[in-house]
This record gives sequence, C-alpha cells and structure tokens, in this order.
Amino acid sequence: MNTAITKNGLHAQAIRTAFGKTTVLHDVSLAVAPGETLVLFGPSGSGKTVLLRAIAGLDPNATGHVTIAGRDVTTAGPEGRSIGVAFQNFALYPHMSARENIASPLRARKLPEREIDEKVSAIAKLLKIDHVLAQQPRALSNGQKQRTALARALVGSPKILLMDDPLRNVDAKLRYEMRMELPRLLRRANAAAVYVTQDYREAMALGDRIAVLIDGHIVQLDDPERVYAAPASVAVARLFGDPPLNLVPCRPTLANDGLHVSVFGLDLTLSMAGALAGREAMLGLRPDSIAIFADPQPGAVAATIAAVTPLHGKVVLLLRTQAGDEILASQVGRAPETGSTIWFRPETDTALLYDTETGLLAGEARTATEEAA
Amino acid sequence: MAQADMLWRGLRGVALTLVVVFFLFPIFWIVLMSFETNETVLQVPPTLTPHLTLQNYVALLSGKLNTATGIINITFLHNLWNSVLLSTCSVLVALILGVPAAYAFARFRFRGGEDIAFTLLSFRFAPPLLVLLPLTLYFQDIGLSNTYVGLIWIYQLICLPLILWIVRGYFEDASPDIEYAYRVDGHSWWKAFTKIAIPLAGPGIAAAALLSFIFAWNNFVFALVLASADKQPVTVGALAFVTASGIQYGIIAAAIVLSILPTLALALYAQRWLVEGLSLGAVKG
Amino acid sequence: MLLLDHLSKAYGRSTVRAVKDLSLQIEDGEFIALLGSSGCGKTSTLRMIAGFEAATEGSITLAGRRIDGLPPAQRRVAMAFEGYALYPPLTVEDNIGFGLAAKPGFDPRQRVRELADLLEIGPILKRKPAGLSGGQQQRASLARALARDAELHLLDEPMGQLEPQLRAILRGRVKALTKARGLTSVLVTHDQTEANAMADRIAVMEGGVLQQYGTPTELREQPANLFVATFFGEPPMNALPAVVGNSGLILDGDDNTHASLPGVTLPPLGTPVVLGLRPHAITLGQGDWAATVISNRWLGDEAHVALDMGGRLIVVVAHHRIAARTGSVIPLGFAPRDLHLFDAKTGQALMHGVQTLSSQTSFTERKSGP
Repeated sequence: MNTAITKNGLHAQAIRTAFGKTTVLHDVSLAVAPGETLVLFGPSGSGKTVLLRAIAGLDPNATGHVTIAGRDVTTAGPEGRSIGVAFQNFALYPHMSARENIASPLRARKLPEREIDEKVSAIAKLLKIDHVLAQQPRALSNGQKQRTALARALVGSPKILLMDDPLRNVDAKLRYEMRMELPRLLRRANAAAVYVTQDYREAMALGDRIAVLIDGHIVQLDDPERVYAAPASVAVARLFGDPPLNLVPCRPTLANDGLHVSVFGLDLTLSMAGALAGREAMLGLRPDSIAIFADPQPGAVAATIAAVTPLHGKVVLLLRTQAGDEILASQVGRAPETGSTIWFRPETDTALLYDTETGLLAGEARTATEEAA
Repeated sequence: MAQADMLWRGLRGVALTLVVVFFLFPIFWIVLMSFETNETVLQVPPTLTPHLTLQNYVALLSGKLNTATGIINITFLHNLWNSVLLSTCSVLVALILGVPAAYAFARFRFRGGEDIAFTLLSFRFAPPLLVLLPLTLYFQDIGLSNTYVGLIWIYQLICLPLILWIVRGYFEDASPDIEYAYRVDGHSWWKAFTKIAIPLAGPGIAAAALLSFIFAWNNFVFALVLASADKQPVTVGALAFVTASGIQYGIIAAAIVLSILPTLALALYAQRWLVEGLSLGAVKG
Repeated sequence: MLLLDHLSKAYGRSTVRAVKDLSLQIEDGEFIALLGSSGCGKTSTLRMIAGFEAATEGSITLAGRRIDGLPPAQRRVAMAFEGYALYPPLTVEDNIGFGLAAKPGFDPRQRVRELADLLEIGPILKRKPAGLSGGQQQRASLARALARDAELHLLDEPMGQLEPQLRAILRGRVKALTKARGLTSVLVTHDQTEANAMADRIAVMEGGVLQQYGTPTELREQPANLFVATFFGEPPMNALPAVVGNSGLILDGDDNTHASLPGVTLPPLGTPVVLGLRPHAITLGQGDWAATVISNRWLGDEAHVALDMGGRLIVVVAHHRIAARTGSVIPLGFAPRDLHLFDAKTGQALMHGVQTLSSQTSFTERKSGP
C-alpha cells in the first residue's frame, strides 16, 4: 500500500496551520491510497476543513509537504494539483448552467468541445442529472445542486478527491441515497478520497479508514469498526455513538478473576488487564449494552425512567438511579413508560476503561477485541 | 377596531402626501420656471397660470440668448459635453483602480488593510474646501490646473471611495469557495477573478459606478475652483447666467432641468436591471 | 391551549401562500414540533404565532384569548431564537434572568442557576455573548426562553449549533423540564431526530400545507401520504412503484417481482400504487425477492445495507451483522403487516399493514373483476 500511495495516492506531511497565535493544525500527516476513502471525522472547529484546504492548496498559511501521485505539489497553486473538490455549500457558479459548471475542469484543460460534451453527459447520466444540465444553479433543487457539484469534482478524473461534508445541507432522503451511492462512485473514480464529516454514522458508512481529528491533532486513525469498538480517548468515545457512550467514574481494583469496578452499587468484573487498578477511571458502557428488566433481577439496579426518546427504530431511555446517577440505555422495540421503575444491568462484554487523568483508553473487554478482530 | 383602522390609514395617507409635496414641489417649481420668461418668474405675486414658453430651451441649445443689454453667448452644450467627459472618465478610472482594490480588501487580510480602506473612505468625510486651496496652488505648479486630467484626478476623491466600499461589500458577500472551486478546476487566479469574482459582483459594480457617476456629475466645488470656462461642467456652467444685467432665472432652471436629464435617464434605465441583478439570489448557494 | 384556526400567510401581493389553511390544536402542557424542510412554512407559522408577522387569514387563540391582533409583547409567548438574539451588553446570566421578577416562593437567580446546570452553561454565566461560541449562545438563548413563565414557549431550531452528543443529552433534559413545569411548547425544526426525540406530537409541513399531525408512532406506522412516509424515518422508507395485478402487486418495469398478498382486499386491478417498506421492516436472507448488494456496512450498533433490485435502490437496516458481500445476490422479504400502500397519483395512503387473515371470498371477487 505504501508504494501505491507514493506512486498514485495522496501524502500530506506535517501540515501545520495557524491563524494569528492560534495553531489550528499541529503537524498533521496522512496518506491515502488510490481507491481508498479516508474519512476525516471530528467536531466543528477541530480543523477538518482547514486540513482539506491545505491539501487543496487553498490555504497560503499552511506549512508542510503535500505529495500527489508522487509529485511534490507543496508550492503549486490549487490549479496545479489535479484534484477534485466537493464543497459543503456546493460552490456552484451561479451565472453558468449546470452543464458549464460541470464542464469547467475540462475547459481549463482546453479539451476539444466534443470530448467535453461526452464526458459531461456521461458523468451527468451517472449522477442522474442529465435532464437538468441546461438549468442555472438557482433553478436546481438542493439535491440536484449537490449532484452537480459532485459531477464537477469527478468529471476530470482527478487523482485526489476532497469532499467537505457534501451531504450536510441536503435532507435525509437525499443524504441516504447519496450515502448508498457514493461508495460505488468512489470505487469507479479510483481516486484517493478524503471525506470530511461530523456524522459518525456517515463516517462509518463511507470510510475505509477514519481519522479522528480533535483540536488539530489526529487522535485515532483506524478502520471504522475498530474506532467504534475501542475509541482511543474519552473525547473520541463521546463523538462515536448515538446515543453516546455512558462514562461512569470508578476506581478499579485488581482481584484474581480480573479487574473489579463498583458502579451504581454493583460490583462488576471486567476481563481486562489491570493497568488502572487503584486509580481514577471512567467505565465506558454502550447504551445498547444496558439490559433492561421489568422486574427485579439479580445483579440489576432499580432506576426510574426520566425520559423516553425514540431514535430511528430504537428507543433511548434516560435512567435515573435512586442515588441520582444518570445513564442512557437504548433498546429495540417497545419502551416502558416515562416515570416507571425498571431494573437495569450493565453488560460488561463491550465495556471500555479510560484513565480519568489522561482521558486515554486503558483497557477494553476481551470479547470486544475479539468481535472487532 | 375597523374604524380605528380606517382613521389610522387616513392619517397615514395625509402624512405621506405632505412629505411628497414638501420634497417634490421644488422640482415641480423649477420645471415650471424653465418654461417661463424671466419676467413672469419675477412677477409678484406669481400667477398660477403663467404663459409657458420654450425660449429658454431654444436659447440653451442654439447658444444665443437675447437680453435687454444684448446677445449673450451660451456655452451650455460644451458644458454638457464636459460633464459627460469628466464623469465618464472619472468613473472608468475609478473602476480600473477601485475594483481590484476592493477585491484585495475583501479577500486578503494584510497589515494595515483596514486602515488604508478607512483612510480612503475618510476622503468623503472632509469638506472638499479643506483640500481645495492647497490643491489649487500645487495644481498650478505642476501644470494640472485647468486640464481634464487634473479634474479627473481630483474627481477620484469622489468616485474611488464609493466604488471601493460598495464593491468590497459585494465581494465579501460572495463565498470565496466559488472562486476556490474555479481554481481547483484548473483555472488561473486571474481567470477566477475575471470569470467568477467580477461577474458575481456585477450588480454591485454597476450600482457603484452609477452612484459615483451621479456624484461626479453633480459636483460643483472642484470644477468651480479648478476649471476655467472651457472645462466647466454644467453645474458650474449654469452660473454663467448670473449676469451683470441680472439673474436669468428661467434659463438657469432650464439648464438644471437639462443637466439632470442624463442622470435621471441613466438611473431609471439602470434601476430595472440593477434590481434584477440584485435578486440573482444564487450567489450564496 | 394554542389554537390555530384556518391560518394562511401570503407575502406582499403574492397569491402564493407560504402557509395554507393551517389548523392545529396544541393542548396545555403538550410539546409539539413543526417539522419540515426549508420553505415548508414552519417558520412563517412560528412568526405568526410570535407576532412578528400578521396572519393573512385565520385566527390564533392562546389560553382562550385571541392573540393574532396583539403585538408580540402582549402575547405571553417566550421564544428561543435560531439567531440567538441575546442582549450583547448583558452577561449570559442577566440575559437568562432578563425580565424575571422575584416573587414570594420564586427566586429568579435560582431558576437561572437550574437552567444553566441543565444546559451546561454554568461556567459562562458571567460572560457576555460576544465572546461565546455559537453553541454556547444558542444554549443561553434557549435558557432565556425556558426561564420565562409564558403561556407558550416557541423554540426555533434551538439546538442546531450544538455538537451531536451534547444535543442528544440536552433533548432529553429539555423535554423532561418542559414536562416537569407543564410548559406548552412548539419546536420548529428541520431535524426529524430532534422532533422525534422531543415532541409528543409532530406536525409535518410541506409546501405550506400541513401533511399530517400525529404522534411519532402514528407518523411512523400510519403515514398519511407518501410525502410523510418518505420524509419521516431514518433512513427513509423505500418507495416502490407498482400496479395491482392478479396475484398481488407487480413492481413497475419488472413483471417477475411480485408481492403476493393472498386474501387481501386490494384496490381495483391495474391501479398504479406505491409500495412502502421501512428499512427496518425488510429481512435479508429469506423472502421472495432477490437483489444485489451494493454496500453493506456495520455502523457499530446496526447494519446499513443498500441493494439494487432491478435498478431500484433498496435500503435495509438490521440490528445484527449481515453476512453478505458486495455484488452478491441475496433474497429479501417482509411481513405483510409492515407493508404500506399509497395511491400513485394522489400519494394518499391506501393501507398500512396488510391483514392476511381477511376472508378468501374478497380475494376471489377481486380476481373475477375486470
């Protein structure tokens, strides 16, 4: 893969950007192979777009090296990098027809008119916008604008494809359609793709790998399921999952049969190494690994249901124990009533343990490791 | 409820009428005056049904005015030509200088950028008389006094700040992403500027050009001090009718009416597509 | 209780109605959502309720009092603005407590503190809006609206600027607060997840017209028309054009793919219909249909599978991993009770959930029809 990247892919090394005294990117490096999609995921303000712009050559303040298909383009302007970019706000040329918008990269290369026509028609057909090519952008629906912008990014068969949250401004229906269609388009384009998003599901649906960017640092770079199963830090864990991971303060102790934690008045045994024994820690519990019972059960804690919120085929329950602790649980199917009392038991087979001081992942339950492997 | 509504509406109508009459009456009056002879203008009390004549206009266009003391030569058409020349050239120069500058101020943050932009605008704050005296002196020294070039240069004090500030706003409103997208497509910086930035700011540039044209056209003080008779625009030219034998009110009125016609026509004509251009709502995606 | 009665809004002299004949009843203590995409009329509706815009037709009654002629200040309505609208010279604390008067048994500072804790803005109470992030300002604006005792609380996209995780937590908390205090609330949002999570009932709007007003469960299980069906629910419902045939429903352009529904009273033979199936309702690995897998991703807690069935995109969600490679052809099916049927012309729902136990005679009758 490394040779492939050097030969045809994207290599960004030690990208650093600062606005005034604030450093936005701290020497970020990444490599993407042709045909691969790397998702840049992170909260707003984490530097995703800034990084994308640095790669595109749109940020004169950025330092570091960018190599595209074996060619050092660090000093080249955006026009000399053979990249395709899909902007979040589409950035269509409002005074040109959809056809001219899409044709723009080909015109820059001064291709013969016939070839331009053929290529524009082909990509428009693929993206199902061939019937609106004569329209001006303002006459297009949001979905059509978005497809036009994508067509423009793809039409020149760029080696590098940069996409800045292109599905953010379209409604759910179009978003899912594109989410399902994009992998096929990207495979066909065979470009090294960098895709920016704030939506962890979108990241998992589209990324071959995910780079989690927080405060200008890549804090985790892994395949999607791995990031979900074992977020490298508390900050990543908070971003991955809807409803998000529960983080329960605890102080683990080491015993013969493993690591013990005491939470919600329960004594839980974790099958993981004991590096954190005796220190402040946070136990990470996925909402869907909180088992709910209508009647008292051994090893289960009583709680009242403070809120019930349906969420895409699931129900999210906000549970409140008598001690006042809050925990989120999710389940498929019918939900108990708000205000009713239930019993819950955390399942520890996907539990994670974080060091409170550093916020870093210190241990994961073994079954979780096996599942991801 | 309905009655109070009616009363309110009636009051609003009366107030509006008062405002309109207050502002439009002088215009009506001057148009009326331009069709009267000096004698009827000066008649006290004024008649409500004056005898209307075209003689003022005839005099202006033919260049000869017969008065009690003899024939006065009128250079009105030449003054009109001066106005056209000065205003048009000034706006063109201001566009060539101001549009790229406005773009630079809108797109790039550089040291002192805000200060420079503000300084340029501040030319509009000071009364022109503040700079006129020194300007007259050194224009004479470097030979720019009483030349078209010198006047056009001075008119930049009027046009440049207007164009700079209006056009800058339009550039700032357009998302830079659209230009970035064009450059990523493989077009040079210059092409992105001419093919994307300028067309998108088109309505703003047109509006700024129009406004600065009107301001330049209506300027009085600069031309009064810096230009002699053969370079004077209409605004100053009208003064020629304040003659030794009396003030030719009718002729002045006619000259003023004629001199506002071009700007009025321009504004009316441009208004239509200015509005159209401004509603080109796709700029912000 | 808030009552919107045949409310319409036209801007200027335009004959186009931004809101058309909208009638809506919101009970005391109820939390409803106006849901729709931009331009659907929800914001115009909100502005008419708040009094920023006059209704062209119709009336608005709040707590038994006609309010549509009153200026905003007299309507006893509190509002959280999408654009925050905080008072810049005041601290966040003073913004939230603005206009709250101390009464016996009520301490405004206490309420401000409670809301600050609830919305996690305690640390910024002493700061002024100018230095805050969009998300912080938005929470301050929401807190200010919730602090007031009003007949009605209008929340205009109150969480759009928040990080998804914080949003997920605050949704539950804000809803719980409105219930605890018995606040009557109208949430305006384009985000169905938010509407779904917070509202007792949701009014779905499109093109200025109310499409359906019901509980989230009603919208999900009994969408009134095809628009609601494909708009509400994530991922959206799969909509497959079909016609009524002899042996059930025949999918358009594909004589081989049927939905055999023996014993079901279907519309007359040849009626063009649209068959609706929720992504969660389709089972993979068994069934009468077959489709090619386009993509198959496990998203941590559910699998999203896209399939191509004769050129139609079908999205399936499963709560367990699906072992199917891209490019492979797999069977899929559904339970008749999960099927929705819509009139292809009008989009109106024809049936939700087919009862397979209906009498055999109706089936034969239909067969012997034209």
